[in-house]
Amino acid sequence: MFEPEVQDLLQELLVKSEAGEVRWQDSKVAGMADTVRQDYLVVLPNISINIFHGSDGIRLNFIDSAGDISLGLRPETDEEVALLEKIFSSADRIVSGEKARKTLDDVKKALSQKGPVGELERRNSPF
Amino acid sequence: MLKTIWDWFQINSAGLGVVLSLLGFVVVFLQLRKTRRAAEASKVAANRTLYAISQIDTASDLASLKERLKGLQSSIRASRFEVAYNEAQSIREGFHQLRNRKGFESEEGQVELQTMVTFLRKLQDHLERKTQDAEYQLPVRFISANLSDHATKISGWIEQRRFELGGKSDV
Repeated sequence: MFEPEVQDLLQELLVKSEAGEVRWQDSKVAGMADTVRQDYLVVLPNISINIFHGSDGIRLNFIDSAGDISLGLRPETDEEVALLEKIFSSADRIVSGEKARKTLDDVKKALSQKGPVGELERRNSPF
Repeated sequence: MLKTIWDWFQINSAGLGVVLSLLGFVVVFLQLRKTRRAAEASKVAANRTLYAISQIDTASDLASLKERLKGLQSSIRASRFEVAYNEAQSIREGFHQLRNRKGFESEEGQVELQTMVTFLRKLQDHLERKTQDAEYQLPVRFISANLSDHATKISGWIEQRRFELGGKSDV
Protein backbone atom coordinates (compact mmCIF):
# COMPACT_ATOMS: atom_id res chain seq x y z
CA MET A 1 0.00 0.00 0.00
CA PHE A 2 1.25 3.47 -0.85
CA GLU A 3 1.75 5.82 2.08
CA PRO A 4 -0.96 8.56 2.21
CA GLU A 5 1.73 11.18 1.53
CA VAL A 6 2.88 9.27 -1.56
CA GLN A 7 -0.72 8.80 -2.68
CA ASP A 8 -1.30 12.57 -2.43
CA LEU A 9 1.90 13.30 -4.31
CA LEU A 10 0.92 10.92 -7.12
CA GLN A 11 -2.51 12.55 -7.33
CA GLU A 12 -0.84 15.94 -7.64
CA LEU A 13 1.46 14.58 -10.33
CA LEU A 14 -1.53 13.18 -12.20
CA VAL A 15 -3.45 16.48 -12.06
CA LYS A 16 -0.44 18.45 -13.28
CA SER A 17 0.33 15.87 -15.93
CA GLU A 18 -3.24 15.83 -17.23
CA ALA A 19 -3.05 19.62 -17.45
CA GLY A 20 -0.02 19.13 -19.71
CA GLU A 21 2.30 20.76 -17.19
CA VAL A 22 4.75 17.90 -16.71
CA ARG A 23 7.54 17.58 -19.26
CA TRP A 24 7.52 13.82 -19.71
CA GLN A 25 10.20 12.42 -21.99
CA ASP A 26 10.29 9.17 -23.84
CA SER A 27 13.06 7.36 -22.01
CA LYS A 28 14.82 7.30 -25.36
CA VAL A 29 16.09 10.69 -24.24
CA ALA A 30 17.52 9.04 -21.17
CA GLY A 31 18.81 6.23 -23.21
CA MET A 32 17.00 2.94 -23.17
CA ALA A 33 13.85 3.11 -25.26
CA ASP A 34 14.88 0.19 -27.45
CA THR A 35 14.82 -2.22 -24.55
CA VAL A 36 11.75 -1.08 -22.68
CA ARG A 37 9.27 0.27 -25.17
CA GLN A 38 6.97 1.93 -22.71
CA ASP A 39 9.10 3.95 -20.40
CA TYR A 40 8.70 7.61 -19.55
CA LEU A 41 10.75 10.00 -17.48
CA VAL A 42 10.55 13.48 -16.08
CA VAL A 43 13.90 14.94 -15.06
CA LEU A 44 13.95 17.50 -12.24
CA PRO A 45 17.09 19.20 -10.89
CA ASN A 46 17.58 16.68 -8.08
CA ILE A 47 15.34 13.77 -8.96
CA SER A 48 13.92 11.86 -11.92
CA ILE A 49 10.50 10.25 -11.96
CA ASN A 50 10.43 7.12 -14.09
CA ILE A 51 7.23 5.24 -14.93
CA PHE A 52 7.30 2.07 -16.99
CA HIS A 53 5.72 -1.28 -17.66
CA GLY A 54 8.14 -3.93 -16.44
CA SER A 55 7.84 -7.68 -16.71
CA ASP A 56 5.96 -7.68 -13.38
CA GLY A 57 3.57 -4.84 -14.15
CA ILE A 58 3.56 -1.08 -13.94
CA ARG A 59 6.16 0.60 -11.72
CA LEU A 60 7.17 4.09 -10.75
CA ASN A 61 10.65 4.92 -9.46
CA PHE A 62 12.09 8.10 -8.02
CA ILE A 63 15.78 8.26 -8.95
CA ASP A 64 17.82 10.64 -6.78
CA SER A 65 20.77 12.83 -7.71
CA ALA A 66 23.20 9.99 -7.01
CA GLY A 67 21.28 7.75 -9.41
CA ASP A 68 19.87 5.57 -6.64
CA ILE A 69 16.23 4.58 -6.51
CA SER A 70 15.16 6.56 -3.49
CA LEU A 71 11.58 5.34 -3.73
CA GLY A 72 10.32 2.45 -5.86
CA LEU A 73 6.59 1.97 -6.13
CA ARG A 74 4.90 -1.31 -7.06
CA PRO A 75 1.13 -1.09 -6.84
CA GLU A 76 -0.57 -3.65 -4.64
CA THR A 77 -4.24 -2.75 -4.92
CA ASP A 78 -6.46 -2.17 -7.96
CA GLU A 79 -6.76 1.52 -7.02
CA GLU A 80 -2.99 1.90 -6.97
CA VAL A 81 -2.66 0.17 -10.35
CA ALA A 82 -5.37 2.46 -11.75
CA LEU A 83 -3.61 5.56 -10.41
CA LEU A 84 -0.26 4.60 -11.95
CA GLU A 85 -1.95 3.62 -15.22
CA LYS A 86 -3.59 7.06 -15.37
CA ILE A 87 -0.23 8.76 -14.84
CA PHE A 88 1.29 6.50 -17.48
CA SER A 89 -1.45 7.28 -20.01
CA SER A 90 -1.05 10.95 -19.35
CA ALA A 91 2.73 10.72 -19.91
CA ASP A 92 2.08 8.70 -23.07
CA ARG A 93 -0.31 11.36 -24.39
CA ILE A 94 2.15 14.17 -23.66
CA VAL A 95 5.09 12.39 -25.33
CA SER A 96 3.01 11.26 -28.34
CA GLY A 97 1.43 14.71 -28.66
CA GLU A 98 4.83 16.37 -28.59
CA LYS A 99 6.12 14.06 -31.34
CA ALA A 100 3.00 14.67 -33.47
CA ARG A 101 3.26 18.43 -32.95
CA LYS A 102 6.91 18.43 -34.04
CA THR A 103 6.02 16.45 -37.16
CA LEU A 104 3.17 18.80 -38.03
CA ASP A 105 5.36 21.85 -37.39
CA ASP A 106 7.99 20.48 -39.78
CA VAL A 107 5.40 19.83 -42.50
CA LYS A 108 3.76 23.25 -41.97
CA LYS A 109 7.14 24.96 -42.18
CA ALA A 110 7.94 23.18 -45.44
CA LEU A 111 4.52 24.01 -46.93
CA SER A 112 4.72 27.67 -45.92
CA GLN A 113 7.89 28.21 -47.97
CA LYS A 114 7.67 29.55 -51.52
CA GLY A 115 8.29 27.24 -54.45
CA PRO A 116 8.13 23.47 -54.75
CA VAL A 117 8.27 21.32 -51.65
CA GLY A 118 10.62 18.38 -51.27
CA GLU A 119 13.95 17.24 -52.65
CA LEU A 120 14.51 16.57 -56.33
CA GLU A 121 15.12 12.98 -57.27
CA ARG A 122 18.85 12.28 -57.12
CA ARG A 123 19.74 10.51 -60.32
CA ASN A 124 23.18 9.48 -59.14
CA SER A 125 22.02 8.27 -55.80
CA PRO A 126 23.19 4.73 -55.07
CA PHE A 127 19.84 4.04 -53.41
CA MET B 1 72.56 82.03 14.00
CA LEU B 2 71.78 78.82 15.87
CA LYS B 3 70.51 80.85 18.78
CA THR B 4 68.13 82.77 16.47
CA ILE B 5 66.72 79.55 15.12
CA TRP B 6 66.42 78.12 18.62
CA ASP B 7 64.56 81.22 19.84
CA TRP B 8 62.19 81.15 16.88
CA PHE B 9 61.60 77.46 17.45
CA GLN B 10 60.77 78.03 21.13
CA ILE B 11 58.29 80.79 20.27
CA ASN B 12 56.55 78.83 17.47
CA SER B 13 56.92 75.29 18.78
CA ALA B 14 53.22 74.85 19.61
CA GLY B 15 52.04 75.78 16.09
CA LEU B 16 54.81 73.81 14.50
CA GLY B 17 53.87 70.79 16.61
CA VAL B 18 50.34 71.00 15.30
CA VAL B 19 51.54 71.27 11.71
CA LEU B 20 53.91 68.32 12.17
CA SER B 21 51.14 66.27 13.80
CA LEU B 22 48.80 67.02 10.91
CA LEU B 23 51.53 66.14 8.45
CA GLY B 24 52.16 62.89 10.33
CA PHE B 25 48.47 62.14 10.29
CA VAL B 26 48.26 62.73 6.54
CA VAL B 27 51.28 60.48 5.95
CA VAL B 28 49.77 57.71 8.13
CA PHE B 29 46.38 58.10 6.41
CA LEU B 30 47.92 57.84 2.93
CA GLN B 31 49.98 54.85 4.01
CA LEU B 32 46.91 53.12 5.44
CA ARG B 33 44.95 53.76 2.26
CA LYS B 34 47.78 52.34 0.19
CA THR B 35 47.97 49.28 2.44
CA ARG B 36 44.21 48.76 2.24
CA ARG B 37 44.28 48.98 -1.54
CA ALA B 38 47.13 46.49 -1.65
CA ALA B 39 45.21 44.13 0.68
CA GLU B 40 42.09 44.42 -1.46
CA ALA B 41 44.06 43.82 -4.64
CA SER B 42 45.71 40.77 -3.12
CA LYS B 43 42.30 39.48 -1.96
CA VAL B 44 40.92 39.88 -5.51
CA ALA B 45 44.00 38.15 -6.91
CA ALA B 46 43.65 35.31 -4.37
CA ASN B 47 39.96 34.89 -5.27
CA ARG B 48 40.83 34.84 -8.98
CA THR B 49 43.48 32.21 -8.34
CA LEU B 50 41.05 30.10 -6.30
CA TYR B 51 38.45 30.41 -9.05
CA ALA B 52 41.01 29.41 -11.70
CA ILE B 53 42.15 26.43 -9.61
CA SER B 54 38.55 25.32 -9.07
CA GLN B 55 37.79 25.65 -12.81
CA ILE B 56 40.95 23.72 -13.75
CA ASP B 57 40.04 21.07 -11.17
CA THR B 58 36.52 20.76 -12.62
CA ALA B 59 37.83 20.68 -16.20
CA SER B 60 40.25 17.94 -15.17
CA ASP B 61 37.44 15.92 -13.54
CA LEU B 62 35.30 16.40 -16.65
CA ALA B 63 38.15 15.21 -18.87
CA SER B 64 38.49 12.14 -16.67
CA LEU B 65 34.72 11.46 -16.84
CA LYS B 66 34.84 11.78 -20.61
CA GLU B 67 37.65 9.22 -20.82
CA ARG B 68 35.77 6.89 -18.46
CA LEU B 69 32.66 7.17 -20.67
CA LYS B 70 34.83 6.03 -23.58
CA GLY B 71 36.08 3.14 -21.43
CA LEU B 72 32.50 2.21 -20.59
CA GLN B 73 31.63 2.30 -24.29
CA SER B 74 34.56 -0.04 -25.07
CA SER B 75 33.59 -2.44 -22.28
CA ILE B 76 30.02 -2.70 -23.60
CA ARG B 77 31.24 -3.22 -27.16
CA ALA B 78 33.60 -5.94 -25.92
CA SER B 79 30.73 -7.57 -23.96
CA ARG B 80 32.48 -7.05 -20.61
CA PHE B 81 29.17 -6.31 -18.94
CA GLU B 82 30.21 -6.70 -15.30
CA VAL B 83 33.14 -4.35 -15.81
CA ALA B 84 30.80 -1.94 -17.61
CA TYR B 85 28.38 -2.10 -14.66
CA ASN B 86 31.13 -1.05 -12.24
CA GLU B 87 32.39 1.65 -14.59
CA ALA B 88 28.87 3.09 -14.90
CA GLN B 89 28.61 3.14 -11.10
CA SER B 90 31.89 5.01 -10.73
CA ILE B 91 31.00 7.52 -13.48
CA ARG B 92 27.62 8.07 -11.84
CA GLU B 93 29.40 8.99 -8.60
CA GLY B 94 31.67 11.32 -10.56
CA PHE B 95 28.71 13.22 -12.01
CA HIS B 96 27.06 13.39 -8.59
CA GLN B 97 30.20 15.03 -7.16
CA LEU B 98 30.02 17.80 -9.77
CA ARG B 99 26.73 19.09 -8.38
CA ASN B 100 28.32 21.62 -6.03
CA ARG B 101 30.93 22.86 -8.48
CA LYS B 102 30.86 26.30 -10.06
CA GLY B 103 28.86 26.33 -13.27
CA PHE B 104 26.59 23.50 -12.18
CA GLU B 105 24.62 25.28 -9.44
CA SER B 106 21.97 26.52 -11.84
CA GLU B 107 18.75 24.56 -12.35
CA GLU B 108 19.75 23.90 -15.95
CA GLY B 109 23.14 22.51 -14.89
CA GLN B 110 21.53 20.29 -12.25
CA VAL B 111 19.03 18.95 -14.80
CA GLU B 112 21.89 18.13 -17.21
CA LEU B 113 23.68 16.18 -14.47
CA GLN B 114 20.45 14.48 -13.39
CA THR B 115 19.81 13.40 -17.00
CA MET B 116 23.25 11.79 -17.22
CA VAL B 117 22.95 10.13 -13.81
CA THR B 118 19.50 8.79 -14.74
CA PHE B 119 20.82 7.44 -18.04
CA LEU B 120 23.67 5.65 -16.24
CA ARG B 121 21.29 4.25 -13.64
CA LYS B 122 19.01 2.81 -16.31
CA LEU B 123 22.00 1.52 -18.24
CA GLN B 124 23.13 -0.30 -15.08
CA ASP B 125 19.69 -1.90 -14.73
CA HIS B 126 19.97 -3.25 -18.26
CA LEU B 127 23.58 -4.39 -17.77
CA GLU B 128 22.51 -6.21 -14.63
CA ARG B 129 19.70 -7.88 -16.55
CA LYS B 130 22.15 -8.84 -19.27
CA THR B 131 24.54 -10.48 -16.76
CA GLN B 132 21.62 -12.50 -15.38
CA ASP B 133 20.09 -13.40 -18.73
CA ALA B 134 22.56 -14.02 -21.55
CA GLU B 135 19.70 -14.09 -24.10
CA TYR B 136 18.75 -10.51 -23.31
CA GLN B 137 19.63 -8.23 -26.23
CA LEU B 138 21.34 -4.99 -25.29
CA PRO B 139 20.95 -2.27 -27.94
CA VAL B 140 24.71 -1.71 -28.08
CA ARG B 141 24.69 0.77 -30.95
CA PHE B 142 21.97 2.81 -29.31
CA ILE B 143 23.78 2.89 -25.96
CA SER B 144 27.03 3.73 -27.67
CA ALA B 145 25.42 6.64 -29.51
CA ASN B 146 24.05 7.98 -26.23
CA LEU B 147 27.41 7.67 -24.50
CA SER B 148 28.99 9.56 -27.41
CA ASP B 149 26.38 12.30 -27.06
CA HIS B 150 27.18 12.64 -23.37
CA ALA B 151 30.92 12.71 -24.10
CA THR B 152 30.32 15.47 -26.65
CA LYS B 153 28.37 17.46 -24.10
CA ILE B 154 31.21 17.07 -21.59
CA SER B 155 33.68 18.30 -24.23
CA GLY B 156 31.55 21.44 -24.50
CA TRP B 157 31.73 21.98 -20.75
CA ILE B 158 35.51 21.55 -20.78
CA GLU B 159 35.83 24.06 -23.62
CA GLN B 160 33.64 26.50 -21.73
CA ARG B 161 36.02 26.34 -18.76
CA ARG B 162 39.10 26.68 -20.94
CA PHE B 163 37.54 29.73 -22.57
CA GLU B 164 36.79 31.30 -19.18
CA LEU B 165 40.43 30.79 -18.20
CA GLY B 166 41.57 32.54 -21.37
CA GLY B 167 42.41 29.29 -23.13
CA LYS B 168 45.55 28.98 -21.03
CA SER B 169 44.76 25.65 -19.44
CA ASP B 170 46.37 22.52 -20.78
CA VAL B 171 43.53 20.35 -19.52
